[in-house]
Amino acid sequence: MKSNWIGVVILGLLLTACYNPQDRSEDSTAYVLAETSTLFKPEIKYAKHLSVEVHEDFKFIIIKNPWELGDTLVSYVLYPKGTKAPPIEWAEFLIPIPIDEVVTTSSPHIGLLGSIEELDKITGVADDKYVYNSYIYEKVSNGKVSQVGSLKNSNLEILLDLSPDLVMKTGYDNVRNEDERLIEAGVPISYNVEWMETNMLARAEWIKYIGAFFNKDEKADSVFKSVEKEYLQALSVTSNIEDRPSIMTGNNFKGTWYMPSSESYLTKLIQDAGGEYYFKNEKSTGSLPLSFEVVLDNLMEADYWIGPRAKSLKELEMMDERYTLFKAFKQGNVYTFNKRMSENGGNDYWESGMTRPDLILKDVIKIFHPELLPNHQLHYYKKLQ
Amino acid sequence: MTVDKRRILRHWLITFIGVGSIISLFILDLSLGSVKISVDELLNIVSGKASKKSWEYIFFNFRLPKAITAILTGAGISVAGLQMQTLFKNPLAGPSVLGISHGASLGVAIFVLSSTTIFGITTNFQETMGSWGLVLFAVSGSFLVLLSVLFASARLSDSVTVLIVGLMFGFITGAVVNILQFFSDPELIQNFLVWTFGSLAGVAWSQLQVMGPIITLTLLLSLMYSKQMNALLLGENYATGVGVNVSQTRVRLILITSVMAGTITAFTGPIAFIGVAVPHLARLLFRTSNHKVLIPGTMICGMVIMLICDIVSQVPGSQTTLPLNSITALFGAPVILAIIIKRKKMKGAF
Amino acid sequence: MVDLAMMNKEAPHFTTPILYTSGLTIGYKTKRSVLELEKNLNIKIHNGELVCLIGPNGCGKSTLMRTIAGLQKPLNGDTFISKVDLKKIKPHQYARLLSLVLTERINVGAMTVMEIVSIGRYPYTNYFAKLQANDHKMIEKSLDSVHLNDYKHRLFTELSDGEKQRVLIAKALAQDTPLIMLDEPTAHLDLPSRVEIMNILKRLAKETNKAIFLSTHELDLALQTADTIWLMNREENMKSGTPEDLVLSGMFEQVFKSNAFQFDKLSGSFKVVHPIKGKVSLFGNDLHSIWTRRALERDGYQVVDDPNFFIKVYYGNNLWKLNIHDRTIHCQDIGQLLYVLRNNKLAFSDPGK
Repeated sequence: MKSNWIGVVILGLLLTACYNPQDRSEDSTAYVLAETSTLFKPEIKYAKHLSVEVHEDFKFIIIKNPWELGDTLVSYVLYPKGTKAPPIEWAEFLIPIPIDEVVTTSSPHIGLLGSIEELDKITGVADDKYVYNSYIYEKVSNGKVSQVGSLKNSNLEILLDLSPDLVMKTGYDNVRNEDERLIEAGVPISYNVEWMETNMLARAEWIKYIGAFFNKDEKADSVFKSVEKEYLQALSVTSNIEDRPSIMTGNNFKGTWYMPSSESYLTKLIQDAGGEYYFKNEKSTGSLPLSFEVVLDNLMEADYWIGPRAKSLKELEMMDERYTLFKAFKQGNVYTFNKRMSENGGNDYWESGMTRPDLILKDVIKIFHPELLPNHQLHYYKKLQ
Repeated sequence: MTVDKRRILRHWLITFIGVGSIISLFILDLSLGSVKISVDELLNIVSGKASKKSWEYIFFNFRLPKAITAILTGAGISVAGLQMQTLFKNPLAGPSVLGISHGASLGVAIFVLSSTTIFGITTNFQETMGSWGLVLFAVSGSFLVLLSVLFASARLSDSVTVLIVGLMFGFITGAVVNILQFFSDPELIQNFLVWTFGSLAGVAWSQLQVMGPIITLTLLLSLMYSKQMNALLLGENYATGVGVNVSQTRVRLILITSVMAGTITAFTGPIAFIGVAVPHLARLLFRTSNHKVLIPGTMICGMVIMLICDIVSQVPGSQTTLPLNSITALFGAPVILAIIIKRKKMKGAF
Repeated sequence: MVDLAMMNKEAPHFTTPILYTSGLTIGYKTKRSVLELEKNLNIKIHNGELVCLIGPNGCGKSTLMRTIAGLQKPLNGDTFISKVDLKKIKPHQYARLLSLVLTERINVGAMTVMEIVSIGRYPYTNYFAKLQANDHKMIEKSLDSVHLNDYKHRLFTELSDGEKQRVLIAKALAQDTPLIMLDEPTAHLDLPSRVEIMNILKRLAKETNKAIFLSTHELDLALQTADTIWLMNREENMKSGTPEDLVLSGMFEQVFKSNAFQFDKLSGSFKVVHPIKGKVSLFGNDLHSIWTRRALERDGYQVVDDPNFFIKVYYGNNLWKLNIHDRTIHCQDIGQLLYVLRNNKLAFSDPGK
């Protein structure tokens, strides 16, 4: 009697050990990957930290580690919903697609989803104050989209309650504890490192990344293609420019002035727009922490000043009276990218702007060389008064 | 008499060396920076014949106010520390112990992080008020904490308890600052974190016009209280015995300290360890606890140390600067350690 | 004929009350209860008078000191110093009437003797404590009074406890007040320092004509130096008088009664009560006999003056002769004498014989 009972227990344990939830769909044989019958294979042209491979029965996405050359940050296997997951054990995430519910935690994520017209799939955002898009903002206001808290402290309970098909997070070179708990609970995380790309086209190319999750690879490709076309066209306007105005950017805080380095997308943008940037060859992993006097010494006579954090010239002067020493300030050639702002402070530059480098480039060309684009109206940028 | 003469000679000698160091370090601080300007050129700038306009600006609008700020900050924060150490008979007391720096931090945190809407306030104070608002908020923050500590001390009338109360208020304001950060935009948190680094470079002439007189005045007031502070060294009862109105003196010293430390903190951010370490350095050099000697001595040492820290934080020859707080901590922490180890116990270190 | 005027000139003491209290009640008041330690005290201290406050622990000596010094509020009544009401006094005025030497150990860091003593001049100096010629003279004089002139530039922390106490007394002297109050000035000190401090205070009272008021545990010293003793008691109100009057009236015995101690009126000191082992007869009044008596008493023998008693001790020719019945034992010193007595059980086995 006794030995029988033990046998039952051991059998039960063995069964539990063998149990795999994915076995449930074993009988399913329909392997349908794309909505369209032809297999579309996207090509990644600019983005350095992204690779998308489309196979017969799954897609394989690798996000490369921007902080460690040749290293993979995270990899995803996307397989058709309702089919058995492919037996790829070393991929961090195996996600059935197309996904239906997404939580975004940063403005560019909303921009990416907007570019492929999947905004209605958003079920949660970090915080309404980061939202510019009026459609999402309204949904947040009437509670149809939840607020899960900022990057630093997302509310795990709300997130688990939503249990979306994907949580989009800004990727850093370390994984947070709370992420591990989300993953344990079966919520896949997208680590977006498009912000580490060194030019705006590469940033925008991440449209293809998000497109893959919705089986909208072709749509994403065509959206990006038109953006690319517009960008290159605008670029051709400035390619033979001789007279390049000198440019300064950002602002000082407590003696340290963070300037874009040679690796920054801003450096590339300034040059593409036909501007001259003094520190364009300074190498640095992030931005360049310069002292105010170095900036003053080299950029006092700069013609244009783009992107200081201020709402008016007066406010800029109040922050530090020494800003008035710059020629760009004296001549009123100070531009900021906060033209499109929601009441709560959501800035469209960080939202849709990240997928519209063509518009941003045209804005900047318009600032540096108004005569080259006579019909263009500033979209994201405005002149400080 | 010889012993006394030797003491006095020693005091004058150190004072002489100190003042000499201040002058030479001041000139060195003016000539070293991220931008290389030769000595000849400096003379040209001073005589109004600068060969490059930006260099003239760098000299008069950056290096000069920064060097003056270093001097004021060094003297002020150190004397504030000395006053706290005497008042609370605690060798590890400093402006931060009474919660004054924390109070200022709270003010600045509210100011910098205020675009968050936890209390329904949507105004971003920083964008509407600029650096003046920063000062206002920091001073009111430290003053608020001070008032609370004063209120508590009136009920307790015991220095050690007041110290603990100050620490508790420090923790409370620190916690509020953390919560504020928790609810804030990472971009604004970045601003606040940069502020907490502490920097002398953010002080321009218009701010110096306020900071200078306040610090000079409070330093003078502090000198005028050297008598009372000496009496307090003997203990509160002895001080009462020689005619010191102890509770009034205590309140006034706390007030002087909070205005001094609050103002400095507002303009430069919290500066670590200087307030605690420099008075010990002055005691060591001048070998006295007599405030008539020690207050000017602490001022001199504070100025010297702050100028050195500023020069080091400039990393002469490079285009960037290091956070001042790391440099002051690198100097201050070993000084405190050395004193504690040398005197074997904290009581002896006082 | 006694020339009164002349006498006044020589000894102008005890003529003016420096401190007096009227209806002073001391103790502690909490929200719930009132603890009165002494009620309705009307006491005086005159110029040139050295007053010692003594009493068993817990009777309120410190409270009385603190109340008179104005560090603690009385429950009732007033204290006047040089006719000024302590309640209405301003801090700087107060410091010119009363100087304090307290028991609390002070930790001043690196301050010289001179610097500490000059703190006594604070009530007289300006905002920056600038010392004038007069202040310097006063400081010198004070240091002289406590024999510390050579220590002027030594660091306070490097001094011995007795020297520190003298520095603080000099500080009080430099304060030049009609009344000096000292709380347990001889505590923590070794015997020579205690005697020295009390002698200094006694001399100062006479020389400077100041009123000196101190609390102490040193009964012997107080009896020998005080002009007046205030004797506090847990049960009754405080008694005051010259030491001799208090001894004669039996107050000391009453206040300090205990099983282990006995106040000896003759010597004016306490004696330890030893269980009696037996009787010994002792002769002689010279120094050796006096110390032999002390030794015998300490060892538990009752010393009697009975030439017919069977145990007798004599001293002579550098020898102690012990006579038990008819036997005589010669001892080299007191130690040997006590040894023989202790081991001679026979001597006490039959005391009736």
